[in-house]
Amino acid sequence: MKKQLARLLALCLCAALTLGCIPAAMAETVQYKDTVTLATGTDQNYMDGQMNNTNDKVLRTVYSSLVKRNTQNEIVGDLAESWEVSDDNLTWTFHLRKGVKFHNGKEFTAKDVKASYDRLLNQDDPVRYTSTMSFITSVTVVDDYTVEMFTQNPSPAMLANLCHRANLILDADYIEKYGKDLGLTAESCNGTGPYVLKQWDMGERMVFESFPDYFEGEAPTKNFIIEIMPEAASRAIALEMGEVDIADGCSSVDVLRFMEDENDGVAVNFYTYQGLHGFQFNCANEYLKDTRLRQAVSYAIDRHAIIDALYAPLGEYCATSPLSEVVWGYYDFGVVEQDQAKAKQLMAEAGYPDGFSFSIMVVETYNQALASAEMIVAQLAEVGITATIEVVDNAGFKSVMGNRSYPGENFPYGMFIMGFGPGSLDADEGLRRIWVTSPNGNNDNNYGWYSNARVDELLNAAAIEMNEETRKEMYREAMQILYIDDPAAVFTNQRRLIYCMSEKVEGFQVDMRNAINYTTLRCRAD
Amino acid sequence: MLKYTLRRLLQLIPTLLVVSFIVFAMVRLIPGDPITLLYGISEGAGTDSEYLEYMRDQYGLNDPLPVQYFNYLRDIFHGDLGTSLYTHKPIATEIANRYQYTIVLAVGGTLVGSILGVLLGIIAAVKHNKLGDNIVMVLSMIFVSTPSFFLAMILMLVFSLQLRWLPSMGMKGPAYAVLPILTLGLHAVGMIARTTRSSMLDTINQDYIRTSKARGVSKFKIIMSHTLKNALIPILTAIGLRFGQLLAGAALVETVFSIPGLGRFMVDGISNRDYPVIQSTVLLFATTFVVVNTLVDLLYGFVDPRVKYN
Repeated sequence: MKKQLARLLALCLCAALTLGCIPAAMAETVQYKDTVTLATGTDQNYMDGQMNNTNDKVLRTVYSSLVKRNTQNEIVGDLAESWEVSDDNLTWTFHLRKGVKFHNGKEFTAKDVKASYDRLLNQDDPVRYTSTMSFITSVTVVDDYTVEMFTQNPSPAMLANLCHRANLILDADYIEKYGKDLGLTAESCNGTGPYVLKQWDMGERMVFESFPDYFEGEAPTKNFIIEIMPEAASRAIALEMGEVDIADGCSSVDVLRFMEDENDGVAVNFYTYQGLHGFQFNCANEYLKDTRLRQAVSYAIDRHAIIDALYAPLGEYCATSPLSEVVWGYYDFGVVEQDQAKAKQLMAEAGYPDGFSFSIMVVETYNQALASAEMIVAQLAEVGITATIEVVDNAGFKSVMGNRSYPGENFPYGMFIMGFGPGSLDADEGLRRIWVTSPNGNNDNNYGWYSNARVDELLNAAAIEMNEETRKEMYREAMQILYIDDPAAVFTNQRRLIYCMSEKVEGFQVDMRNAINYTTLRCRAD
Repeated sequence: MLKYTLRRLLQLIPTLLVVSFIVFAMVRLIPGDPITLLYGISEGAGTDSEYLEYMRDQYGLNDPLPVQYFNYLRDIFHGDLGTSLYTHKPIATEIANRYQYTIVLAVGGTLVGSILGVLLGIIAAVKHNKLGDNIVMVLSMIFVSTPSFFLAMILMLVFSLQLRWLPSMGMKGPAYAVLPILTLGLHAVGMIARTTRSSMLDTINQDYIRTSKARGVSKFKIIMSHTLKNALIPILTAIGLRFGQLLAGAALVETVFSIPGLGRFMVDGISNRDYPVIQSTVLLFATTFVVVNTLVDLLYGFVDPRVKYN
């Protein structure tokens, strides 16, 4: 006891000496765990941004891109320090950061940027996002730390698009060595990001170790582990037991329970998300091809009632536009209010005063999808529209959406649940990608065969309009059509991201695309 | 005996062929295809049908179905189970890494289920129509009708969350196996107890049992060596059948307890529509099931020398 006291005094003395005028209380250091564990439901299918089709959650542990979004949603340099665009707006020059190291110790240079984009843009041997990024024609090396990027047309959304996961920079040597197998095993991943992927048992676990030479400084937590736990209830229990520190995608029942219980040591955190939920129209449906009937459906629905009952407890609120409020180009049109008289009048004008019928497809995994569809069915019934619900599983949903060989008329559903969230956080992707009619009439991402000549014209013009104000005005006009005048969908709720975590977790940041910032994350040990 | 064993083993071949065909057909009948799931629409990114078509070609999924089936069979006979469309790893390697977990669960579950089940069944038979019998029958009814998913959650809540005795996720040591094995075992108890009880009751009323009693043989000896031994064949059959159900139950339990076993591999395979994985895992489960039940058949001869294999 005496000895301990003496040691403590000596320690205090040392601290006082070294810290000089800093008060002793501030010298007490908080102990942090050297390992933080996150539980999530699905694994990544590739640790390669060019092929990854899961989400943005994990990729940025290992990789960096030329530019990135910070937590305030601003585009800032990542591997590029600065950039400029030529007068004709077709050539972009990026000046790269010097002294950046890959995880294997190799220095990052312009060669890696070129190799990554050559692989991404190769039409003869495409990767998943070749067509998405095809607005870039080529990339050339000027010197070791400068690259030039050429585009076909002026691209106002260039920088936003460069934040897409497809632009994460790979190691030129690894591209050569692993080819299409890059990113399928821990060994085949070599990036410049804050963490090194040490071990990956696909579908089970990812183990990361902080990279000491990361160009923004080593991450504060030595080890980071992702546990794949498919069962939401199991994730919640593991969190409560302290077996994991952060749980993603807890069921709303668990979230509400965690929020109510103040002494469970679990914090529930909400984050702004780029996504909206809604029910999209199949515009090839025999009834819903008529604008007036789509409007009638839109006016028959009481969005406030749905959101109050199902989404408000989780902090979500009504959508006010076809774009989430955080996407560039957003305009607040207000909530479309229920107006049954107007709905009936529109139905009468369209020749269906006694109503019509169609089916609504929902996916079981979408949050509260079935419950919101049930409320919509009840509200539609009040104006005489008969809707039925068909529930499909995730695989069934994706195959229906992915199979664009359907002629629209054979698509069996009148409406279907859909999330609207552009990965680039820009209206170009958020609107043009999903609503324009392509020249061959088969736009892969226009799932409801929406077609409006004026919308096509506006969105295509806005895509190459470099003046921000003019561009914003074009989007406002297009959204007025998409939202109210010739509705493409019933946009219901502005989504939020929910992460449940131990109260000891500090510095957990997630951006609007659901990409976690791994450079500030840590967890107290006490 | 040897001849019989060989014949039984040969019978496995047509059974497994039929299974392979059914599974092959079934996975292709479920809506959804692996390529759209892996490369199609996702959070914040859209689809590209040309690319999907390109990938389908790469994986041979555009070949006519008979060709695909023929290739699949040919590969299996060459000992090649194929490559997972999702993890891109050889399925044989995945199975080798995972089979141990599932076997531990299934064998552990069978042991717990058999020991408890037979014990309870004996009690019920001995206390026929008395309180003990009723309690055992009610208990076994509860165990049979509780879904293992629900049971797993309850065990987790009680022993992990409330009492903090046992871990709730993973398989990093013996303690991790307790709850999953208990879940599977308890579920098996009901049926085994009921079979034991009725089979024991059939035997207990035989003349030779009465004779033994009259001769003054101890009650314990009568039950254990005279009655149980003669009642064993239906019990063995029940246990063999349960083993198959435990394999299936393992799929659920592995998902709930986040154990990287074969059952979860199959479930993941189904939700990813990973055709080669579903085909291989179902075939493997079927093989295990058939082999175990063949073994049970062969065991009859040891348990009861009157059984002749001709």
